[in-house]
Amino acid sequence: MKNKTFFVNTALAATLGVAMLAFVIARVFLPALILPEFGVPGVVIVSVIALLLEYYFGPDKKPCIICVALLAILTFAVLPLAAGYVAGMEAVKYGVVGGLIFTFLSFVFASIKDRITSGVATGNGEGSCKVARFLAPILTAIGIVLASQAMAGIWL
Amino acid sequence: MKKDLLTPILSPIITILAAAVVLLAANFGLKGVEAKNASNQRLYLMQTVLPGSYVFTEEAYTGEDANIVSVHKGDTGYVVEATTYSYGGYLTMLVGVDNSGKVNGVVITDMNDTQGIGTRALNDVPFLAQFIWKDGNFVVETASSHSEETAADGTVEESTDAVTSATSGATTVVAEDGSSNDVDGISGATVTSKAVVRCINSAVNFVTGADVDATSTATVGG
Repeated sequence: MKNKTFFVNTALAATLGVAMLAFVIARVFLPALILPEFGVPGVVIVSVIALLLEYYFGPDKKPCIICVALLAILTFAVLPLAAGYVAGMEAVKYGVVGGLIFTFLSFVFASIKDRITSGVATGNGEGSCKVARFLAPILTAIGIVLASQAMAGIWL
Repeated sequence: MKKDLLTPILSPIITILAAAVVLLAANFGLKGVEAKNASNQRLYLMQTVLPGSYVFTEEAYTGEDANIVSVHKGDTGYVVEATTYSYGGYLTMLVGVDNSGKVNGVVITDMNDTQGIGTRALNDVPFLAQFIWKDGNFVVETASSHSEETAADGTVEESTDAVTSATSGATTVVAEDGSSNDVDGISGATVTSKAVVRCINSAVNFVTGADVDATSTATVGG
């Protein structure tokens, strides 16, 4: 357990906090604006931003995955509730679904990170490309977000 | 070991709590502003969809149309708020109908349809403009001779004897009685087009009295 960090959860809380604050401001000052629902694609966008922040700025140490999942559930339940986006049991549903999606994506991203660092073009070895190493996670994140559009309208 | 876990876990917990406090403060602190802005926006939209009316009085709706949410009487007619199920959930509209039963303006105020497809109805001026100054009881027909579409609530809508738009292949909306109220729907967004038409039909029927029994027609909708 020594030297475990939860940078990814801090990044998730900050990202979701900013997103929910934008939602509150839009609701208050732009009442005519019709925003897309914060469904699975929205959860995925917030999650991959947090995972990208961890990829570029976070430590290499891997945190306890159960703690990551529990903190993610707490984040997705509390912040939409505080923003007035959901109420009551709906917040619990957002917490559970959002937390599970985030945990799944953190597995996926950890795997991608391993592939990137061991790749010929994106690794640290001879012949590798810094630009490719920098862009690979972003392009992967875009692919994940696009794939998640197929899940719009379900679960949340 | 316990301390090793607790110390790093404090950082995200503090961030979550701080974000929650900021959101709660923004949410409750701006409640007054939100209500005022929403009220002003609603009045602006009602004045836009029913030109010539500046003050609106909400009237109790006693008719039988479940699509109608609220009714607001203006100087020149009514603004009807109607809602119905569309592809991704409820679609809500404000429809301005003058006292003669003609549509003066329409605006979608809420929808959850697919981005880039159903949401084109929000600002597809050629589509929405086709309802203006018409009093038709519209019906959506699809491009094929027989088709089925499933709305978000699982309702299967069947249509037969469709009208085909030869030039664009778009959905065609025709008046129930076959009169000249034919308008093109949004291509690829038939369920949304149908939802819009249902809302507009409900609003027009309210004003013409078609939504209620004969005894109450005289007092509701003029």
